[in-house]
Amino acid sequence: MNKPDSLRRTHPFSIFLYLYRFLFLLMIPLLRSFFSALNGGLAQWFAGAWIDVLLVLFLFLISTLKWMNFKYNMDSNEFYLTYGILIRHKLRIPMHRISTLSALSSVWLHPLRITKIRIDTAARGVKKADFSFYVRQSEAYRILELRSEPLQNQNGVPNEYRPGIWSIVLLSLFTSNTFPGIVMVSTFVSQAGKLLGEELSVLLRHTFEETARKIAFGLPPIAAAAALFLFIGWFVAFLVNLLQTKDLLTTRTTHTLRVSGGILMRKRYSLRLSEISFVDLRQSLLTRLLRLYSVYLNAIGFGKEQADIAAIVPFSRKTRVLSHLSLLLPEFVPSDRTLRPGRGAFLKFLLWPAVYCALIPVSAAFAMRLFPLWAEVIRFVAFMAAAPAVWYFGVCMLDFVSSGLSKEENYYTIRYSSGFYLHTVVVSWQKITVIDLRQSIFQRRSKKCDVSVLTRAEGRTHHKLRAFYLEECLSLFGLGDNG
Amino acid sequence: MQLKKPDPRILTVWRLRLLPAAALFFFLSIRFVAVHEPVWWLFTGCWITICMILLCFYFPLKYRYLSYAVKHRVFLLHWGVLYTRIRAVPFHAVQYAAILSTPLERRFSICSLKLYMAGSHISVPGLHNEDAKELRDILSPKKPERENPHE
Repeated sequence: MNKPDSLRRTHPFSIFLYLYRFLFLLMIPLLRSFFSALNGGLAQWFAGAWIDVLLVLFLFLISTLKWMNFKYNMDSNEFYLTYGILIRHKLRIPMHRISTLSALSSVWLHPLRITKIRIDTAARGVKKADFSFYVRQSEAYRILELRSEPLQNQNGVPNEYRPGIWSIVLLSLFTSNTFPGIVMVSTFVSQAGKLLGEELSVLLRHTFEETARKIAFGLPPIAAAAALFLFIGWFVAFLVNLLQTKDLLTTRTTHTLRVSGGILMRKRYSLRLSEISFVDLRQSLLTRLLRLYSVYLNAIGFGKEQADIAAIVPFSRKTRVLSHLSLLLPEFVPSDRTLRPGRGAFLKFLLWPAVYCALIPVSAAFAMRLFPLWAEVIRFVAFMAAAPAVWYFGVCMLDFVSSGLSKEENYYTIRYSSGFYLHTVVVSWQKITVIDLRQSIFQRRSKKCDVSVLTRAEGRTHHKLRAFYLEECLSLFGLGDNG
Repeated sequence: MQLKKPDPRILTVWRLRLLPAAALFFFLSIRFVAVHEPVWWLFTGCWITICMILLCFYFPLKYRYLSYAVKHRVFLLHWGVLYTRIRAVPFHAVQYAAILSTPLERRFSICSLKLYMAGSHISVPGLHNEDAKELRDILSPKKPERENPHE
């Protein structure tokens, strides 16, 4: 394999990244004992900690060697990489095989002008990028420019979309997940004591308890505290999401889609159009009632990490979403529904959600008879459990009336629900891996089936529909005798 | 499109595969014979019933619903007993195809074809060796033409 004439090294910041897994184990106790030793007895400290000091120096040496041996060259034709200390790897990836090329710059790296480059191909793992390394900002711009192409336009209007601030706010409002926010808040409170003194940690907890007591209007204090905790967690997640997707801009060129945005982490992606697996117009129950849609992309290397942008069109009305989609990805505009669930399919959609809704109050009543002293708590828990059950029932009801299949040229539009979300997925025939038509004994009599479409995406994605007529599905997918 | 059936000898293979398990339960029943114990009767009755259901109903139904076909752009497999399935695999989705045969299948001159796709695979049992090779040649990905880097 002939290597290119000039190989570059990544930014020296990479040394600390190679260290981080192991260094934190030793650095913190080492630094603490060093500072305490400065008060006297430095020699005694070194006599006890010399192994730790040697280990830290050894790890630093290994990280530096790793950085020195990691070299790359990237031009418009290929990406060449060599890395490894004892076992040397050399590889060459043609540029047209790179599905997504990303440049990510965290807010704390802005002053140092360091950017992370991420390279994803159809090979290797799903959870992590194939290759990632840190470079100077100017080098990152040069790398991204390698895939630059003239902008496409329709009648002089460039094929690009920049959503307004309210669309971004709505996107963050409806997609913020409480759990990451709670994790951040819990980590902050517990670490505040360690880093800034126990007084701060106690103050935070005391403030929380006081606030919970004040807002507990007729609720048990523990319920108010839980509600407050959830709200704070959600609000933190909302703020983080907002800052991650601000300044979102999507642009289409001849063979690529360029997506950029974010303040906390400035992100720029370059996706090959042929690597887009499917487009997902996603709605929750609330956004369906408000008639708002958001458009998500499923492509190799896109939307992989928590901080990644996944929605290219945040919440907007249907006509606007379709208009933006026809500008950016006209191949992926959903077609009108041609196949619907069979008559009498409402049982299939609504039976189990109705059972869950009925089971909760019945179980709660039974539990309150068995444990009368716990009646208040059981009533509260039943109420909290009933809310998602009723929500799920609502989603299934909407799924029943909107579920469908259709086809336009070589693109299939699949409308279904999964969990608490309603999906309208547009997928190319080329990205379909398996189509599964399943019939139970009862469905064989009524000539209906459940449809499962498996798509080749970042990982494996099942799109499942219920209670369609078998012959119609065979005809739509070209699997019948006349297909 | 004509659906093809696998070789009926696959039914014999499935039934013979049941023998070791049946022999094991038979041995346990004989070894711990206790004619007056309800547990013994329950255990013996259960395994005999399950074996009879498999031999007389399940395997024949499994063979009855099993068939395959090659269309112009997909491979179809019909299978299942309680839940019957039609599984369609587009040709472009097949990463590679493999022919497998156990000693029992080789005794009856049949084999299985396994198709591997991204994130999934399917198996077609009871094929003649020639049919399996022909299917493998049809379904294996062809050598691509020189790629246009801009596509």
